[in-house]
Amino acid sequence: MSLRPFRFIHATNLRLDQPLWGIGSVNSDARRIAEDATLTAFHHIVDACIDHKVACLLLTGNSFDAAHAYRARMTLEDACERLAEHDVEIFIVPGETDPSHSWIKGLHLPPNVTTFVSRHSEPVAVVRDGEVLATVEPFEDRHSSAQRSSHSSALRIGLIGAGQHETLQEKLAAVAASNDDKQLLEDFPIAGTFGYLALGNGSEHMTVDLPRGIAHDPGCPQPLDGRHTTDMGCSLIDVDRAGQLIVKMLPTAVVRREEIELKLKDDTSWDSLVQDMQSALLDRDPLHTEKLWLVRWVIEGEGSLADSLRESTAQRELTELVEQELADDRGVIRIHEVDLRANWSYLSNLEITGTVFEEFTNVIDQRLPTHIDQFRKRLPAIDWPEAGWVRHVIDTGERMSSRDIAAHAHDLARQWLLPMGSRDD
Amino acid sequence: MRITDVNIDHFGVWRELDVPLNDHGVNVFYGPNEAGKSTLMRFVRGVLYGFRPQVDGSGYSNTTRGDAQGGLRIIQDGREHVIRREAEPGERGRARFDELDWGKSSDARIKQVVSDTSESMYENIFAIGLAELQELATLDADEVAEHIYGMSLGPDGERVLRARSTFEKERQRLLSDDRKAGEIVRLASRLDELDREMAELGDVTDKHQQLRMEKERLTAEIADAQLRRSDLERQLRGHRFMDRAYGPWKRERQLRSERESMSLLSSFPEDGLTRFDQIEHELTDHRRKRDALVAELDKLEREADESTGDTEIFQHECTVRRLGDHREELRQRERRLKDKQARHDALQEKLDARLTELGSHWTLDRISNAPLPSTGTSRLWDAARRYQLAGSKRKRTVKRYKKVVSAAQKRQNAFNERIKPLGGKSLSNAIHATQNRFDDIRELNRLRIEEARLSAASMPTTTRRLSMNSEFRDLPPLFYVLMWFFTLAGIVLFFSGLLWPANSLAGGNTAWIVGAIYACFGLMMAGACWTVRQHLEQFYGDPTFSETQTAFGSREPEPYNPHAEHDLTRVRQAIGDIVGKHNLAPTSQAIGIAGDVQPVDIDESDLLIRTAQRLADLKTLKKDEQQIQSRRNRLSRYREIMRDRQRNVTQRRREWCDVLRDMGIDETLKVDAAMKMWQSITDAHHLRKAVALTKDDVDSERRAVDELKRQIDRLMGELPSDVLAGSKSDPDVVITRWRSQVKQLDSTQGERAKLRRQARDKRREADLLDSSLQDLSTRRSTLLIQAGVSSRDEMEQRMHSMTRHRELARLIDDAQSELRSVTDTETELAIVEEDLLSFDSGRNKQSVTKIEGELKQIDHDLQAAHEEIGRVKSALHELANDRRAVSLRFEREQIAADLNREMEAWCSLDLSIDAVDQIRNRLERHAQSDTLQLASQYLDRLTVGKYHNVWSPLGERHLCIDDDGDQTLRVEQLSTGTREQLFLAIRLAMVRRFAQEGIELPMVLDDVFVNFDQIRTEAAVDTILDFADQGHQIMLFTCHLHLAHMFEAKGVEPVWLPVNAAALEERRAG
Repeated sequence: MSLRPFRFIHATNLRLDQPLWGIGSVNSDARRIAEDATLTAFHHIVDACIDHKVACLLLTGNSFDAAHAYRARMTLEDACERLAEHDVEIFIVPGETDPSHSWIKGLHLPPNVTTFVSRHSEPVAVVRDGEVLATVEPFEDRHSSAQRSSHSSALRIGLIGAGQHETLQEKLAAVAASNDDKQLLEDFPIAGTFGYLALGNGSEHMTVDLPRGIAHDPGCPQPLDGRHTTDMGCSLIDVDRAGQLIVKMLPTAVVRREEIELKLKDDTSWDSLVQDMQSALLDRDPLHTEKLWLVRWVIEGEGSLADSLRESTAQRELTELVEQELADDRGVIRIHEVDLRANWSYLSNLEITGTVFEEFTNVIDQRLPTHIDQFRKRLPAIDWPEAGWVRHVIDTGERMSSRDIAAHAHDLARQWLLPMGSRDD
Repeated sequence: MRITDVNIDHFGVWRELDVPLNDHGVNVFYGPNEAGKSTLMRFVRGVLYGFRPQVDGSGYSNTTRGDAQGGLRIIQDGREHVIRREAEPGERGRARFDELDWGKSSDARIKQVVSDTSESMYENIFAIGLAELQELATLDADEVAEHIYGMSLGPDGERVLRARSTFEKERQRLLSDDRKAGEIVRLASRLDELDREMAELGDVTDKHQQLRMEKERLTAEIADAQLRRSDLERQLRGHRFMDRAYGPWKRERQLRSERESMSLLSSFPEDGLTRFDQIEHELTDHRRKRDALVAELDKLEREADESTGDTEIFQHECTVRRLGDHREELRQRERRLKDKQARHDALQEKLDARLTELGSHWTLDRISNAPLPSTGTSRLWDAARRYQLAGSKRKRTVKRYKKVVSAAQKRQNAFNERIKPLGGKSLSNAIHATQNRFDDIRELNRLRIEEARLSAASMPTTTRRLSMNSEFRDLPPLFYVLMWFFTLAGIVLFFSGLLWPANSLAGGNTAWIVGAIYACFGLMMAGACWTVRQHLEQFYGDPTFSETQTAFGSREPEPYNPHAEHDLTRVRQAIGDIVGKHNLAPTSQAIGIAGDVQPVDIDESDLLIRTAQRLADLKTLKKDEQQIQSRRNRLSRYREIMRDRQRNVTQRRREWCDVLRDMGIDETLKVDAAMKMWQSITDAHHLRKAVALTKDDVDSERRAVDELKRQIDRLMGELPSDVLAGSKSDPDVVITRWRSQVKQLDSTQGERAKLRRQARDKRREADLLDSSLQDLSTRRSTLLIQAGVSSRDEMEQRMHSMTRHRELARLIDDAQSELRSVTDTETELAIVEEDLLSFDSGRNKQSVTKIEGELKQIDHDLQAAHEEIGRVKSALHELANDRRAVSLRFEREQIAADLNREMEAWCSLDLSIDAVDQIRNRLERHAQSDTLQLASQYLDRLTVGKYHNVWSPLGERHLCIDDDGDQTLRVEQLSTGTREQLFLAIRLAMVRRFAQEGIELPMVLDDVFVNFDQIRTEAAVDTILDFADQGHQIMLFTCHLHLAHMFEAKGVEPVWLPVNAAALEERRAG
């Protein structure tokens, strides 16, 4: 099979104009960057499309939140117009937050955009100079779909929107972890007919080999939560003459979250801590797209220095000193947060069998799932005052993460119930 | 500590009381009320901790010492001690331990006895009455409570308590109990506020959508209006177009009809009239020019005919020219003659000078007869070289011969000196004799060795020693050949080096360096040869080197030979013969001791060496003699060579003289002088030849000059007198004048030829003008024919018609151009002739006015629509730049995240508190302190299983009791008896714990069972007895006989206290 080489970019989970979480209280510049982070990340994707002269751009769902889509739509329309000027086609499948109806109403997209609002849409060919480079279609778990492909020499691209075909996407994630695709192909033989299966979950950057190509998830261009951004972005796929696909991750994130762990030693002084923090920052190079770093310093240790850092003013003074003396010109605004923790390094050597710590953690682990359910059920029944904010408490209770709750409980246990903690001294 | 005896001198109601006790077990004191049981109990406490002032009047008085006095006999650590105490005014009495002094030392010792237990603890734990037993407060004292509550749960309990407290505080921080305050409330409230603010902002998306729809509507309206306006404008353009196009169209139409009415000759030349006038003008002009040329031609021809000149002068031209040539040649030859004559004179002078040098006997004739220099010179040089070579060879041979003779003489003298010692004996005989002697001595040496060997063979154990036999080894002939080769080569090279630069002085400058290197090399080789020879001679001359020692050194011991004696005799005889033959006197050293293994005779060895040296010297002399003889032979050969050289020199000299004689040179043996003279002769010879040649040349030149002079004279004679013009003798003047005349004549002739040429040119021009006139006439006729006229007037009339026709064409073009410009401005409109034919200007203007009005209205509407869409766009722009909603959403998300985190923390804390409570519950139930666990056991026995567990909630100072139905009761909920049983159980447990910690004090119980029912009293008795069996001393006071009997029934004999009448009376009185 001899193909005409071409390129395309795959992005998903754009989450345009959706606010980032857990930024906290930041200055106006940082806040503006954070507010526009998803839009800027999408601009980076569009720039990459133009710079790399791609044939098409694939967007596999969750491009915006239909409930708050004003700026997202404007950005999307402008970007599509811009890509149309550069002869770049755009193929879109809806996701969870941007269902089909949100694409049908209120959007004025140029002709270079193909939105697969129906799962049973016909394949669309990507044509250059009269030659079909690829056919793009929404993934449909039916054999008829495979038979529809008429361009045998062209790359067959399937699109799976975010939140769609979850079983398949979960299995692909499992295959990415185990590299065993036998069961996958037995369950989803149709997946093997695609040259490129564009996944839309955007939870992580992953690639799974298929018999005729790959299934790929580029991850989120700008994660809203605290996930690492350095290994996510959009993916540039090079298709050579032999039909081989080379995937290259292009960073797009504007806001980067870094969690840096430091351990206070007995001889660690204020100055050496500042130096360590500066060294840790200098060890990390900002990507060209990044404008804002949210640095969370997890400082483990005890002693006078740790005690002095418990005060928020001391933490602020520390981070100001780090910034003041760092004074680099990398064009990135850094926001610091200090999380001071006790030194649990001795925990591995500690005998905790039969201690209240072990008993506590066992109780937590056993009762957590039922407790959360009961807690959620109990919330509306609590004798709340007559106020509007109560609904937020109840709603938030529904969104609580059992993992974070367990982590918090275990932190409490380590902090208060370990047999030989500093607080026993 | 155990009390064995209570001895009261005076205390309260007791006087001189002495009660012996069991040192372990239960001591039951029975007495009726007011028998002094409590006093006895206070006495025990007072002896241990000090007497207290009596408050009820029944005790001692602290005013006098004798009011309270007594002691206790105790056993501690197996030793018996006595503690006595006496009341002291103002104090708690003085104490004495055994024989120690009253006071501090005894107090300290007593403190040790009670294990530093405080009096309050003793009263609350060890010595209790019914009143203490009934009061919970007695267990709440810090010192006691610490054992019951504080230490009850251990570190785990502490952590659990602390964690519980912290968790609760944190939960309170998140959400207060009344759910009206806390971080969660704050965040949720803020979230609510943000939602309200966002609601107030409205749904931006909808607003944006509405604005966009409005924008699209307005855009559509504008588009429609613009379309309508476009149509109207097109109509307007059409009307205006018709209005503008109608004029030109109509004009063109009229002009075209006029032009079509005109008839024109198509071949009529447009510029015919002009061309006709031009041809006429040219004809006139050409005719005038031709007439002028003809007149000028005639004039030139006349002038040419008039200018002819005198042509006779050319009759003598040839003679005059030859005269001039001869005159020039004569001058050149006279100049050459002069030069040749001067050269001839110079050569003659040189020749004369050379003849003068050669001498008067040398004349020109002799010079002429001498051999030619080409042959003579080579012959003379050959003879001279041969003569000189022969002479130099002879000279070198003589020199070499002299050197060899001198060396041979020296060597001969030395040889003669060395052979003098031979005494006239020939050298060969001397060598022969010395050789024989050497052989005999060597044979003697061999025999000596054989003798020694045979001696050794005849004596098996004898050790041997062999002497070294030296033998001179002469150097090998090859060495001498090589040495001489190098020596001679060095010498030859040395002299070659010396001679080389001399022979090459005129040649290379580096030849002497090569010579010096050769010389140095030769000297070096000679020196090296001499040194090597000296060294080797010394080396080979060393006698220790002459024998092979290894042969002897490695020789094996001779085996024993029984025939050795005979051989030995024979050998010794041979030795004797040799010694006798050469007169070699034997010495003890030389012969050695018979049978000894000394094989070497030292004198014989020296003799052998000396003989060898002498033989070598003689052989050297023999060689020298041979060499001397060889030198003689060489000298003979040298002499022969010298003779040959001399003969050769003589012959060459003769040849040299013959050559000189043949060449006419004076005989001389000096080659250089002869060569110099020959050089002069050669020069003279050459000069003579040159003089002769120049003389011939001068003569011939002179003859040529004379001949030329004669020819000039002859030519002068041929010229007429008018040519000569008085200059008969000077040909130069004649020639000059003649040339002047010829020049003048040439000038006249040239002028005439010029006039002729001009006349020819004018004639050609006139001919050309005639031809041109003919051509012009033809062209004029053709033009008239072409124009179809016969005269210029007709042609002029025809020309006017043509001009009008062209003007009409131009006007039509203008009209068309105007019409085209009109159509070009409106490319979309086309001219329809029918419309133009039916065009009505008035109606058209009305339509234009109407359309313009309508367009004005549309423009007004469009402006309004644009303003409206501008507002919409502005609103959209404002909406796009309005970040309030974004900011609110951002903040809301952060708050929501914070709320989510705090809610998770709340949930986590809720769960954690439950978990901690669960752990606490377990700890409280199952991980109580040892004291309470023991207390539980005692309570279980005291209550006959009704209450089995005593525990204390974490962090609280109260007790809980679980009954047999696992119901938990607080102390306050218990009956009096049960509460007293609980407190007794706790005290028993504490006494037990103290005992385990080494604090042993007797337990004093004052009627504590009074509220117990029968069953629990019996259980209490059993418990007390068991407790006592565990090693505890118990002093139990009771006024209940049945209780005393109970103990008595259990084998404990009570102490029956007597009724104390004095005490009774005293109480009654008080």
